[in-house]
Amino acid sequence: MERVELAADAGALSDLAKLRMHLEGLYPGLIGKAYRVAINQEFSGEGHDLHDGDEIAFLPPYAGG
Amino acid sequence: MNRSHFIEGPLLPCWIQEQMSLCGREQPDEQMFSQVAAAATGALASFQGIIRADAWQGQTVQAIEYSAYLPLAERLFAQMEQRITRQYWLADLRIWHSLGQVRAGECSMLVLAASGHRAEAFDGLRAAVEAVKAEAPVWKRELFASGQSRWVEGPVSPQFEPEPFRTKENNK
Repeated sequence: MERVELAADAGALSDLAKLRMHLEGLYPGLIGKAYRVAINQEFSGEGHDLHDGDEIAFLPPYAGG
Repeated sequence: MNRSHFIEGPLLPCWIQEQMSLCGREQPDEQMFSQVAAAATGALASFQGIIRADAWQGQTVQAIEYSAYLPLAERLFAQMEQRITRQYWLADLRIWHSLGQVRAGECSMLVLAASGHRAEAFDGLRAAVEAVKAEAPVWKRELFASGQSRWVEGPVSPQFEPEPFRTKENNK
C-alpha cells in the first residue's frame, strides 16, 4: 500500500473522474489498468463528489488466499 | 463479534487446532465454551490455504508477502461471515488471513464452518473460501531466494473493468 497526500486547488478535483484524470497525468502507468475505487472506505461510482480530507483508495484486482 | 480477521505471519498449527476446538462451540458474543452451542453443532469443515513453492523463470517461491487495505478488509470479512452464515444456515463461520510474510509450506488462510449437518458445513465453507478470493482487498507478492519478487495479478472480474471517464459535467 502506498499513500500519497494530494494538495489540490479547491474545486479542481471536485469529483472522482477529475481525480482519475489528474492521477493518470501524474502516473501514466495507471491508464487502462483495472482497479476499483473506494472513497472513505466505501465503493464509489465515477460522479462521486470529493471533499478535503477524503481518503481515496485505488484497489487493483484482488489476489488474496 | 469484533475480532480481527488478520494475523501477522503464518497461521501456526497449534493455533489452528485451538480455533478448530472452539468453532461452533462458543457463544458468539461471549467467546466462552457453551454446552448449548456444542450440542447444536454436528459438523465442522475446515479449509487451510498453504503456500506452494511454485516455479517462475527457473526460480522457486520461498515465501509470499501479503498486504491488505485495512480496515475495509476487516469490515468486508465480517460481512462475508454474517452473509454466508445466514445463507447456509451455519452455526458458526470464522475466517482468518495472514499479513506479511508466510513461507512455502505454511498456512496463510483458515476458514472454519460449523453447522448441524455436513452438507451446510461443506457448502458454506466453499462459499466462504470463494468469497475471500473474489471480495477481499488483499494482495500478494512472491519472494524468491535471489531477492527478486513478483506481484501476483488477481483475476479481472467485471467490477474491476476500467470505466470511461464520466465527470459530472459530461454526464449532463
